[in-house]
Order: sequence, then C-alpha cells, then structure tokens
Amino acid sequence: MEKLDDAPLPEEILARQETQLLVQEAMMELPSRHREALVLKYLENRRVSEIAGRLGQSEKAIESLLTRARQAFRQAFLKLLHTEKSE
Amino acid sequence: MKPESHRDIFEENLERLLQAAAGEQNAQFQERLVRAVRKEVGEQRRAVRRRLFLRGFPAAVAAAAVLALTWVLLNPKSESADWLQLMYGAVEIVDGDSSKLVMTSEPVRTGQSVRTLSGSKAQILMNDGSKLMVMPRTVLQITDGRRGSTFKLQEGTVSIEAAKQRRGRVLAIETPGARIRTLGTVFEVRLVKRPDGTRQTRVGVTSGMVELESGGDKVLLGAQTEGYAEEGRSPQRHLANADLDEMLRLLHKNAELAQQLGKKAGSPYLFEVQGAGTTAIWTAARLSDFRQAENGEYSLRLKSPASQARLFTLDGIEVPVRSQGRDLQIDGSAVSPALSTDTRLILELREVRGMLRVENGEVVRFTRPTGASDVITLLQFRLPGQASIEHIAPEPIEVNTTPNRMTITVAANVQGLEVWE
Repeated sequence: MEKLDDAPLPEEILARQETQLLVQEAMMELPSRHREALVLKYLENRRVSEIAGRLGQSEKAIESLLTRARQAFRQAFLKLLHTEKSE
Repeated sequence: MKPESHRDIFEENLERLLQAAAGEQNAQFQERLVRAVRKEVGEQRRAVRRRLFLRGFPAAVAAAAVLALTWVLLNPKSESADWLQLMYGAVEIVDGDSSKLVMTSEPVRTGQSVRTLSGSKAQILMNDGSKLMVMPRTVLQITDGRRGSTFKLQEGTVSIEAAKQRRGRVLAIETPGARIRTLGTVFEVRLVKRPDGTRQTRVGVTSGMVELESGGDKVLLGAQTEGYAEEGRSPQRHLANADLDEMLRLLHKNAELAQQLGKKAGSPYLFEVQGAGTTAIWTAARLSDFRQAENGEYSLRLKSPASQARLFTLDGIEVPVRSQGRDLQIDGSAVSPALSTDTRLILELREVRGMLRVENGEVVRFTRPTGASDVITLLQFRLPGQASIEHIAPEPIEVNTTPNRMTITVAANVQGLEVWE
C-alpha cells in the first residue's frame, strides 16, 4: 500500500477497515483548505472551474492547491501507515 | 517532474481511497477523534491562560470574564451553547454570505447553518445533552426557537438523539412543509427531493415518541414507526409491523366505506389460518371494552383461548398485557394518561381455537353472524396460497394471491362477532 503511485490498489485493500480508518485520520490531519479541495474534487467530482468559483480563487491557484493537497495527503497517509506498523 | 502516468495512478488511488473511506464511521475512530479534540481544546485553553497571565490582566477583569463565560455556558438561552464536532470529511459553518471550514470543533449559534459535503459527517452536541448527527450532503440551520431548540433541515438527513427536555421546552426539526417535535427520543429525519420538484419529509423513530405536523394535521409517531409528510398535505404513518399496518389500513377503509354507504363502521377483523386448526386474529378494541377492577387493573375475557395476546395503540406503541387462557389483563400503571377509555387499540391474538371451524384437517369453515343491516365490517381472511374457495358471500372487495398466501377481504353486515365476552 506504500506505493500509492505504482499500480491501482486492490479492492480488497480498499475494503479493509484499517485502510478506511487511516484515510479518515490522514484527512483529519490535513489543513482544512486541503481537505475541502480533496473532498470537492474526488468525492463530489466537481470540476476545477467549479471549485475555483466556490473558493473564490483562480483555476490555476486551485490546480496548485490540489497538487499540494494530494502531496499533503500522501505524506500524512504514509506517516500514519508507518506509525501503525511500528506500534 | 513525475511522468503523467504516475500522477494518474496516484490520483486514481487517492480518489478510490477517499470514496472507500467516506462510508460509515467506526467506534474506534470516533473514540480517537474525541480524544484528539479534547487534547486540542485543552491545549488551546492552556495557551489562553498563559496569554492572560503574561499580559497581567487585572484580577477583577479576569474574574469577570470567568463569570461571564460561566454564565454563557450555563444559561440554556445562550446562543453559543452548542458545539459542532467534525466527524470526518469537510464540513462548513455558513453564516450569511461567509462560510468557515470546521477543523475539529467549533461553537455554533442561532442563524448559522451547518453544511456537510459528500462523504462528510459532523455532530452537533447541544448544551442539554442532545446530539444531532448531520449526515453527508446535508444543510441544517439553527434557528431561534422560543420554546426550545429548532433546527431547519434544508437538504439531506439528520439523526437525532434528543435528551429529555425541560418542562415546556421541545427540540424541533423543521423541513419545508413539516415540523417534528420531540421529547427524549432517537429518530432520523430525511428530506427527499422528487424528480418533479416536490419534497417529502421522512421520519423514522427508533425510540420514544415524536409529533409530526404537516398540512395543518399532526400524528404521533411511536417507536418503530415511520412518518411521511408531503408539503401541504396531512402526514401519513406506517408501522414497522406489517400486520398492524394492515389493520390501520382496514380501520381507515372500514370507516370510509361505512360513510359512503351511510352505515355505522364495525371493528375490522383479520383472520390468518395457522397450523393445527388454529387462527391468528387481529381486531380493534377500546379500553372501554375492558372491565376495570378496583385495583386499577383492566381485564377482558376471550370467547376462545389464545396462546398469546398483544395490544397496541394506533401509534404502534405496545401496551403490556398479561394473558392466561381466556383472560387478558392490563396493569392500570401501564395505561398512560394519554390513553382514554375511548382510545382505539389493536388486539393481536395467536393460536386461537374455535374461531374458524376446521373439518377433516383441511376444510376451513367460517360462518358469520348476520342481521345487523346498519353496521358494515371488513373481514380479511389470509389462507394458504393453494387454497380454493367453495363459497363466499358477499363477494370479496379485494383478492390478493401470492404463491404462499391468498388474501380475501369482504365487507359484510355483521354484528356480534366480538372475540371477547
């Protein structure tokens, strides 16, 4: 699961409660702006232009916010994963 | 820079991870979350105390601030007494044109709205101990209720665990077209938008009782019942128990039919053929049909013994009843003041012997008493699916056949069919 960008994650891993818990906790660790951007983009499936309109920013600024949010999520998620493993 | 394909796989995984995790929460996470929130609130308080100390606030001002804060927290009329706690996802507090994302928890007050995005959930912890779970894609506004807290559900679903309210105060939920009031209850309100633009309010009650009002009418919803309200129309009630629900329908239909024919409505009966020559019977009774003893106990003697008897109000609330052979008894204490002697009740009897006559183990005969031309009574018979009818009079008004069951309903002039003496 650590290699989030190598291959699509198997359904079996996604369905695990521990995975869902890690995702929820990783989301909680993110700055609220990042969290909102990820929810709007990947859960509400909004277009970048819509998110820009909603957050009152340019599309370019949203693209960059989403990039930072994705990276922040990756870091938070992997950090929690390692903490979980070492516990 | 990373190759484009890498970014795609990560994004796809991220999207799937988020969607998989956007479902229901588990208790372990909630517990960890609560601990984290408490820790953060504690740290914030310590930071505030340090600042106050360093700035050397005069003791009198500090004491006044503490007193004011205590008053605000303890006064139930305080506008900032409720807290919004983020469970997961993205949740906003909307105040007029501005909105604020909730990090962990925030105070919420009258006039503000709570908005949850997809896959997001939040909880409102009220000063009186009530909890409102704001489900994904919901907009809930906190409004000024003079007789207690009122929440306006503008979109989505909210689950309520209402604490017992102080005398004269109620916790109410308003939707377009309906109002729900409660006292110490667990229930859920869902606002459903139809394709034609109309909106329906659905209320499911887990425990306690709520009052649902729409179109100028009110119904009481007891535990395990559901209520539906269309904008501008009277509310409808459904019981979780299908047999009771069918009895409610028969009662309603019986009254309607009697009115059309200009006759009196009798108490409808539902007979279900059970094994070994016994019958399950549902009918309506009134508390006045019972004899009241000096010790406050109500009793009823059945014409035929039943192995089990249950009694329900039309709201689906079970009234505890003891049965022994032909005798049924209700404790006076079990009869709430709301239950008047004229209140209609539904009586369910199981394994009644002698009501339907069984010949040769398979032919069932039922002869109804006749002679009351001014009373119209609905009789419903539930027979095995493969049953055949030799003769029935009058003609059934409803016939419903499934592979396992044949249901026939007749409207007859009947008197003296009561199952009790």
